[in-house]
Amino acid sequence: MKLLPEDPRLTAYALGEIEDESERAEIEAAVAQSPELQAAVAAIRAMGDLLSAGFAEEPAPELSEFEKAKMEAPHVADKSSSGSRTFAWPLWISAAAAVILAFVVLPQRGGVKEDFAYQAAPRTDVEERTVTRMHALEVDIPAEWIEGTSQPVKVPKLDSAPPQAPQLVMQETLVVGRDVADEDFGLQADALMDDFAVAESVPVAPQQPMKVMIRPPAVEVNLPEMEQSFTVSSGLDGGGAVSLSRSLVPKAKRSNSQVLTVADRSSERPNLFNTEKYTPIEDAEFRSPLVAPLSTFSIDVDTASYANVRRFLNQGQLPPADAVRIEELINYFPYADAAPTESLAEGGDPFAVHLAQTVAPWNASHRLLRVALKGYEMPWEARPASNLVFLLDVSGSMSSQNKLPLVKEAMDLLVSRLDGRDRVAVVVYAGASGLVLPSTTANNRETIQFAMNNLQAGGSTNGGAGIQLAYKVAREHFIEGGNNRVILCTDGDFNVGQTNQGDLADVAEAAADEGVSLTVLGFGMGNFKDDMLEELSNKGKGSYAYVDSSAEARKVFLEDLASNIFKIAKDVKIQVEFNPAQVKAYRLIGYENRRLKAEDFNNDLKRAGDIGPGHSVVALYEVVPSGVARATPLVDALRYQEKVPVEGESNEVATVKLRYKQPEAAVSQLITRTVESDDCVAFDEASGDLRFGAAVAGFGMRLSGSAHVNELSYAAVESIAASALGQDPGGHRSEFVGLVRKARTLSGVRQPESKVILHGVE
Amino acid sequence: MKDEQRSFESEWMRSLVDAHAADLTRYAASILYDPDAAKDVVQDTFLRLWQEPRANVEDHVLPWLFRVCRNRALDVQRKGRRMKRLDEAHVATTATDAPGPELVVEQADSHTHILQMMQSLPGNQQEVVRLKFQNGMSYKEIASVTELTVTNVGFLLHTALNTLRARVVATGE
Repeated sequence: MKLLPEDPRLTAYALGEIEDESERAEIEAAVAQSPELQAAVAAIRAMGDLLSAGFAEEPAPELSEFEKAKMEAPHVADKSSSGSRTFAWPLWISAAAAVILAFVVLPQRGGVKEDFAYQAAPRTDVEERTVTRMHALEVDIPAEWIEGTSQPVKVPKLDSAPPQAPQLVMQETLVVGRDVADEDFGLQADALMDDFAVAESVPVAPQQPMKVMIRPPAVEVNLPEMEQSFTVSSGLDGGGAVSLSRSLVPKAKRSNSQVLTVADRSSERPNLFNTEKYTPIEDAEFRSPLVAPLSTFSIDVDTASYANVRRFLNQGQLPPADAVRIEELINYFPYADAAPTESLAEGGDPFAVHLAQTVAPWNASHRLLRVALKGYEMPWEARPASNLVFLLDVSGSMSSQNKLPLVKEAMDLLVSRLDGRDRVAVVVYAGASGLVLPSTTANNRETIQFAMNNLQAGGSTNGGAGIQLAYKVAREHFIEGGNNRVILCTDGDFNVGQTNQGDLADVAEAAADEGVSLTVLGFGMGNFKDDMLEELSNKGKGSYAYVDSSAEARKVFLEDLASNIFKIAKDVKIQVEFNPAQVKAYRLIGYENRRLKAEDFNNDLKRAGDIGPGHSVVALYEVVPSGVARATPLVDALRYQEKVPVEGESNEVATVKLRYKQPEAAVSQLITRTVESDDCVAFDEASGDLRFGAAVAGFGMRLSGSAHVNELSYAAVESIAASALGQDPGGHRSEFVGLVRKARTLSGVRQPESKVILHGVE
Repeated sequence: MKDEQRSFESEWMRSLVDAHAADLTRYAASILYDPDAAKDVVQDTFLRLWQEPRANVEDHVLPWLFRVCRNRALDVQRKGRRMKRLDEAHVATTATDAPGPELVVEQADSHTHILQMMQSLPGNQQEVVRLKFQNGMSYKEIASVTELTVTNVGFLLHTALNTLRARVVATGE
C-alpha cells in the first residue's frame, strides 16, 4: 500500500482512529517501511499531546453550585405544579400526532428528518422553554385508517403514561395536503431540526399523492379548547427534507402571548399597545345612617396605586381613573401620629387609634372624619426571624431597565438589612420555573448577590408553577412564630399555565391560612396587571407596592421594610356606627374594594388586612352634619323604627370600633372609640397630617373624576399640601406637591390660584 | 415507584452535570465567546436532556449533550446576529489571520502559544481539534456532534494538525 504523508488516514492512524483491522494493518505496514511516514506519525502524536496539554490548561468556566443545581433540576417546575402538567399535555398530543404522521404518513424520497417533541409551542425571539417529555401513550393505528398508502404501518411503542395523564387518544380528522408550504415555518423547522436531528429514513414511492387521512375512533381528550394548526412543508423538488408538525395551543394562551410580544416591543412607548388592566372602581355615594348606620371595611396598607399614578404623571399622562385607589394614595405617606409606646411583649396594643374631625376642604358644609391607625414601631432587633422566598419573574417582559435590574437592586437593599437569623431563597419563573437560590441564611450576602447577578430575563411567564414552587420552599423552611413570606416581584403578566386569576388567588389564600403571607411588588409598565396583583396580595394577606424607580425601591425596602414584611396584628377591621341625630349622611373615601358586610366585623373567620410595625393606616369619612340642608333628603324618616334616645351622649357623631388579632391568635380583640361633634376644628387649625391627607384625598378624587370634589382645584390641592409638608422625612410630600402641579398642567385647566374657601365651622 | 424513578433520574442528571457541565460550558463559550450565554446554553441542554427518555440517549449521552449544546449555541449565535446586536459572535467564528487581542497574552508559555495558534485555524477545524483533544472524543463521536461524516472529521483534523505543525516549525520551536 502506498501512503502519502498528506493522507488523512495517516492522522487517523496516529490518533488510533482506524477501526477496520485490515486497514490498520496495511497502514502499519506502510509506516514501518517509510521513515518519512514514521516521522509524520510521531509529529502528529506530538502535536496531539501538545494540544491536549494546552487545552488542559485552558481555564474552565466556573460553575457555581447554584448554576449546577439549575442544570440538574430543570424539571422542578414540572414536578411541583399540576398547572404545568396540564399545560404540558396538549403539547404531548401534538407530539403524538406528529409521531403517527411521521411514521405512517410521510412517504418521501430520500432521508426524512422529523422533529416531533419540540415543535408544539410557538417560538418567539424570546426563547420559550417548553417542558415536554416523550413517555407514555400506546399508539396503535390500524392500517385501514390510513388512506392513500398501502405501506406497512410502523407504530412506535412507548412507555405507558403516568397515572395523572389525561385519557389520551384523539378524535379528529387530520388531512395532510402536499400543497402547504410556509416558508417561514420551513425555516423554523429547519432550525429545530438542527437542534434535534433525529434522522429516520423512510423508503417511499416518490410520486405517490400525499393525501392521508387518519380517523382514529372513539378517543376522548380531556383538554381545554384548542386552536389547531397543522402544517406540512416539504421540499419535494429538492428531494430533501420533509418536516411536519402540528401545534395545539390553548386559545387563551396564544392570544395572551401575542399580547405579551406586542407589549414587549412597545415597552418604551407605553401608549401604543397598553395592556394594563385595572378593576373598575365605583365612587362611593353618601349614605344615610338612618338606613345604613354601620360602615365596615378592612384596612389596606397597600401603596402601589400611588407609585403607579406617579409613573403616569411623570410620563406626562393623566392616569386612568380606575388606577387611582384613593386609600393607597393616602396610605403611601408616613404620618406623625403617635405609635403605642408599650411594647407588644409588655402587653401593649399593636397599634394606636387616632380620631380627628375637620371641615372638608372641598365642601365647607361637610366634615372630614379621620380614623388613623399607627402600628407599634418595633425595634429592628426585636423583629421575628424571617423566612423569605423571593419569587422573581424573569420572563422576557421583565428585561427592561425599570424591571429586573431594579428587582436585583431592591433585593440587595433588603438582604443588607437582614442577618443570620433570616433566610432568603430565590425562585424564578419564566417558561419553566426553578430554584435559583436554595433557602440560605441572610448573612451569606455574597452568595445571595451572586445568585442574583446571574439572573437573566427571557421566556414567557408561568407564574402559576412559580408560585407553587415558592410556597413549597417557604413551607419547607417554615419558621414557627416567624415571618414566613413569599415576595413576588413581577409585572404581573402571568400568561402560561395556572393563569386564572381566581385559581392563583386561591393558592395564595390557602397558603396565607397556613401562615405564609404574600407580598407583591409590581414593576414596570406597559402590560402591568394591577387588578390581578392587588387581588393576589389581598388574598395572600400581604402588602402590595409598586416599584417604579430606585427611589421607590429604597422606600419600600428601607424606609417601609419592617412595615411591609412583618405583621404585628392581623385581620384588622374597622366598623363605624354613625349617629343619625348628628349625621345626615356619610361616605367612606376610597377602600372601595375593601368593604365588608356589617356582620363580617364580628366574624373572626372573615379575613381582613394585616398591619405591620410602624404602618400608618388612614381612612377618611366625608360626613354631612344633621343641620345641613340638602335639596332632597336622602331618605324619608322611618316610621317603624323604635327610637331609643341615647341619654347624655347626643353629641356623639360616631362610634369607631376596631377588631384585630394578634399575629398568632384566632380570636379577635375589640377597641372602641367615640367621636363627638365638638371635636371638629377649622380646616386651617387641623393637624398637618389631617390637612395633607385631605389634600391627597382631594387629589385622588379629582384624578378619578369624582363628583364629590366640587370646586377643589388642583391648585387648591397643591396649596393645601404645600402648607402641610411638616418634617417630610424622605421628601415624599414635596414630591406629591410636584405631582399635583404636573396633573394640573396635564389637565389643561388653568385655574385661578387658591380660590377655595378655608374657614371654620359655621 | 414513580418517585424512585425520579430520584434515580435525578442521580443520573447530577452525575452528568458533575461530569460534563464544565466541559460543555467551555465548549459553548468557545462558540459564543460569552461565558454567561454559554451557561444558559448548557442549562438549556440539560433541560432538553431531561425531556428526553433516558433510554434514547443513555448509550451515547456525551455526544448527544455536545450536539444539543452546539446547536443551541449556534442558534443563540444566529439570533444574536440576526438582531444585529453585536458583531462579536461573527468575529468569534470567522477565522482570523491575526490572533485575537484576548489571546495575545503570554507568548512565552508554549501551551498558551499552541492555543493561540489554534485560533488562527478556520472555525470548523478549531472545533474538531477542540472536541478531539480537549474532550477526548473519537472521530465517530465528533462526527455525531458536528453532523459531519467521519471522513470529513478526519480530513479536518488532519489539515488542522498539519497547519499547526507547519506553524510551529516556522516559529522555530
